[in-house]
Amino acid sequence: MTETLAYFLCVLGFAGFSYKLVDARNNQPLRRMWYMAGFGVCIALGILVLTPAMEELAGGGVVFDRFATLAGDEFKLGAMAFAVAFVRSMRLGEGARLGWHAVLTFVTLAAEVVLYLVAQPTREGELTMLTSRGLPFYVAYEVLFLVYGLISLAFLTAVFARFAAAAEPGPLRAGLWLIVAGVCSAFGWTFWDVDDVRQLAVTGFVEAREDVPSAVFAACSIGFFSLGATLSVWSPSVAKIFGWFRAYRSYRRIEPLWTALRAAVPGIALDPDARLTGGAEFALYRRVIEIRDGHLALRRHFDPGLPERVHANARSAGIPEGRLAATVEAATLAAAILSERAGRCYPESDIPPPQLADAGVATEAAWLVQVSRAFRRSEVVARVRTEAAAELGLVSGAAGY
Amino acid sequence: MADKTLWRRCRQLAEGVKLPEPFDAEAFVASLAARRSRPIELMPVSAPTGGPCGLLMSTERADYILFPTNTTALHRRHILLHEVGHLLCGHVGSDAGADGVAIDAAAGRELMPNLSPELIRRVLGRTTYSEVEEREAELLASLIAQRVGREDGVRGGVHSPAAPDEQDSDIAGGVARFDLLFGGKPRRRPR
Repeated sequence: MTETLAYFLCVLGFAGFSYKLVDARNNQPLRRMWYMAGFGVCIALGILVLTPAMEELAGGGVVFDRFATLAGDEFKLGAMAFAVAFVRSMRLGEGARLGWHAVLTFVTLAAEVVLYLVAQPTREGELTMLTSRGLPFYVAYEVLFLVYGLISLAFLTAVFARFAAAAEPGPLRAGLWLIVAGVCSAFGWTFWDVDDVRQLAVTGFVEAREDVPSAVFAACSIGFFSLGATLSVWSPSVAKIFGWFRAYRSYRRIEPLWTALRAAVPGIALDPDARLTGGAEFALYRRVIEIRDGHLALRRHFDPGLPERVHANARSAGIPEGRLAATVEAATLAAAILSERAGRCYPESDIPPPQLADAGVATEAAWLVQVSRAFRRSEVVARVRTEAAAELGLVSGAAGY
Repeated sequence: MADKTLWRRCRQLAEGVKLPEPFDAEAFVASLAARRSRPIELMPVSAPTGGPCGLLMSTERADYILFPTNTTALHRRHILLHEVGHLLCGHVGSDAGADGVAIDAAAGRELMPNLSPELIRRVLGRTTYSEVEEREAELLASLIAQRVGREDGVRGGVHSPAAPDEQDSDIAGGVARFDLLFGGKPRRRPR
């Protein structure tokens, strides 16, 4: 089941990769397109050739049994080589030469074939068996694969991490870090072969097909690569969904304050029954504006001496500095609501608005979330409410505060 | 006016009006004044208690928008948009009722004592939304603000990276190449 799911994720990953490849054909140099295509084809074949479905399709013939493992590993080496060539082309520009890594790749590919042929592994059911004479060559074959993988993946990690760190925050940076995560998964996928080497040294045989951890590492690797490469395509939609959730969460969090103000000043509500008409962002905007309308409408009921007293009480109650202003605003509004109910006005009374960083609804909503939380939960505000009610002659049950 | 009709009309107006990019309320009002060939004067005031928290007063010569300074920037902008909404909707202030007109006129006299009452043709105060004109202006202001937020978000979220110079082998050149491939809106490479 896990293996099937992993292969399914690989298919999804390849779909994303193919999309990006088609998308990139208009803005990338031809040589770089070949590198990308080569990487995609090699990694796909490297996974495909060792799947049970492929084995069934091939009918389990002698040639397939003997050479499927070699073919799979050669394709994986090819994929790493194309990935490195692609990254060098991105780092150095269109005219970048293949350089030392190409030489290393050709030597490794050839040496792997020679070592594999000399080792003469045979297939028995699900296992690849080695004779005592072939075992050292097969171990050398596995170790060479690991060394090549270590060098290539370390290079890829270093380059992608360097570019991710240098990129501006945004989809590009997030995408590059996702690709770094993909390379790290590829490390896991490659170095899971250490387990094969250990098994070989102990038993003289090894599993012929990809095991479950390998399939999972492969799926993670392809998945992260594809997510990173296509982030610019899907991130706006995801941001929109997150934006809706953020707006809805803020809308609900400022509800206690809005409800209290609307009860005190019913005229602030444009449409009291509207709820989420117009969407969450619109509803949040309306609530923010209506709370500010309520604030202005109640200003003649603000006790001018109260903010100073609340500030001192909040400090002595140990409320953190960053929450003091919101607590003062919540207490002022709580007392003003009761004053309005009792009909008490204060001449020349006003409380200056908070100095927010910008005129955005998100900034103002974030502030009102703090005020609403203090309005509902703060013990300092509760004490102000109780004292104001007692002073104004309001009874808690009857007045409903 | 039924709610659906009100929403439809306000949506049409909000989507049809030309907004400056990036949005700036004063520039928006100035462009509206230029289109109407009639001055609109913005007058920040400390709103009196008990009065409307925004006011549109019109004389033969100009329109005056009074908005409070003693509130947050978002709220100030919204009140300004509300009063602009009256202008966009062509409201005349006929449905406020005798009490509403009296309150608005009193607030107008308090805020602009030098303006002769005989010169005033129209006074619309932002108080409650029981009147159709106030509801319409308020809804229109909210929809314009939503459009501003949406368009600012789009401008902030989408960028079209320039085609990088393939000869650059420094880190900035590499980032630019990755940006073109992964980070931005697809763009055709110059041939």
